[in-house]
Amino acid sequence: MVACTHKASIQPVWINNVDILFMPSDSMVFKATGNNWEACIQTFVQPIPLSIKYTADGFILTQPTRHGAIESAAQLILSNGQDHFYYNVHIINKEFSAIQNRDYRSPKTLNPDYGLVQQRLKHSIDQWRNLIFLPNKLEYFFEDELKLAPKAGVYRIKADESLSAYYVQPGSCTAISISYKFNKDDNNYTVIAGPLYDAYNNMVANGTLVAFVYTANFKTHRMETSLINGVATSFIPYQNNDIQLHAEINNTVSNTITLSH
Amino acid sequence: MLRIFFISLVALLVSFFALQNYFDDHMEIKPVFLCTDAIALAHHTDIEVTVHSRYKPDSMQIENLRKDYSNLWAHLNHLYATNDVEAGKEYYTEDWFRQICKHYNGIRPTQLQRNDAEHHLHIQNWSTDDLVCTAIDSNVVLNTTLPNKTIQKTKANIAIVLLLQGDHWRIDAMRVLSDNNMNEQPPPNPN
Repeated sequence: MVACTHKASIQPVWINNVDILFMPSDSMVFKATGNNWEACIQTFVQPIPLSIKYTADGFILTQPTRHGAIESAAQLILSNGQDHFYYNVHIINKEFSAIQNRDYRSPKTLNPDYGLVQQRLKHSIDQWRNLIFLPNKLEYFFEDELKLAPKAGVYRIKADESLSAYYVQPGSCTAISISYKFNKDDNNYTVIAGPLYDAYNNMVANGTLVAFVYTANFKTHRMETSLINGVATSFIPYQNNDIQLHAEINNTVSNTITLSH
Repeated sequence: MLRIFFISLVALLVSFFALQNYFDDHMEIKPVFLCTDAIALAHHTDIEVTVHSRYKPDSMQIENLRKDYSNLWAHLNHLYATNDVEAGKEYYTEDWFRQICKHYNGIRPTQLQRNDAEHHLHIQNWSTDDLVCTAIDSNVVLNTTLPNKTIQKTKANIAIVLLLQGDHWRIDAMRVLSDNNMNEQPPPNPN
């Protein structure tokens, strides 16, 4: 007759026992009996499986991957069938050379018409996703507000990271200067508005619509064109009488000029 | 000539059926918004949110954060118990996902079940574009059930970075500030 009884395992003895386990871990030597053991390090986030190599009087555990983890209190767990043994350790990574200094800015696009204050959030992360103290600051998170210079352009927080870009747009124009000349061959006037600048001497954005409004023979006409490099050009057909013309961009209006030759 | 025509026809039919099988296989993967997250649905916890940030989120944003944070913890607990890195990837940023995959060699239930009973989430910073949130989760009560059904109670303090990506708040980084065992004695061995 065979008796079905569970024979309890004897708790393995950790020969090179440590309280702080540096990751990636060195070999962990155990004195134990049996060869049906499983082992893992239960970290705060996930279990990290360990490899087992049996020796004459026990086994040696090694970490198959040479990676760090989230630093925390953890447990080394040895399992043999129904028997589980726990060894409390504290995980610390051996190195965290690849520190990412995060710098989040918002808004990403600023316009001098609406303000140039930008929020900056900073924190630093090691390569194993642990937050670390900010350089020169004994805190994990940092926030401040920056007043940006009103110079239009594309800027990068980190020169080699295109995703770190933010933008200062040109504002709206403050004054519209217009000039014209008569084209004898085409029998029309070339009317030019610009170059147009905002209050901070940035050239007004390409694509800004400029409306040329002119009156001739008691009829008022409107022609719209886009700014390119700060200049908008339109062609007004010649009329027998003088033409009264002005240019508009939103609420900004130029002087009225008379087209004649 | 006729033989070439028949061979071409057969090749065309074989290609058609092969491609049909290929696309049928790929159509089985549903888009995220049609998937049911059973792990998150089965999870319940108590999250108290306090706002300390200079820029304050509105109540709707806080409610969304609370919901996503609860779902995130459902998946962190599942990850803790099984090392199933893929189940919660909707709540992980790419960098976080890459990191946990470094310790993945298959799903392996560890006989430990962790449950998060309560959180006190203190929002430290909130970006004005509503895409970044940093917080301290203080006195997180965690109950871990050991294989012998003993419950190990711990209180943890965590600093955490959450990023709003793809309609979800996702974990990007954390720091376990403390993780104290509330049981008076260490977890007993079954023997």
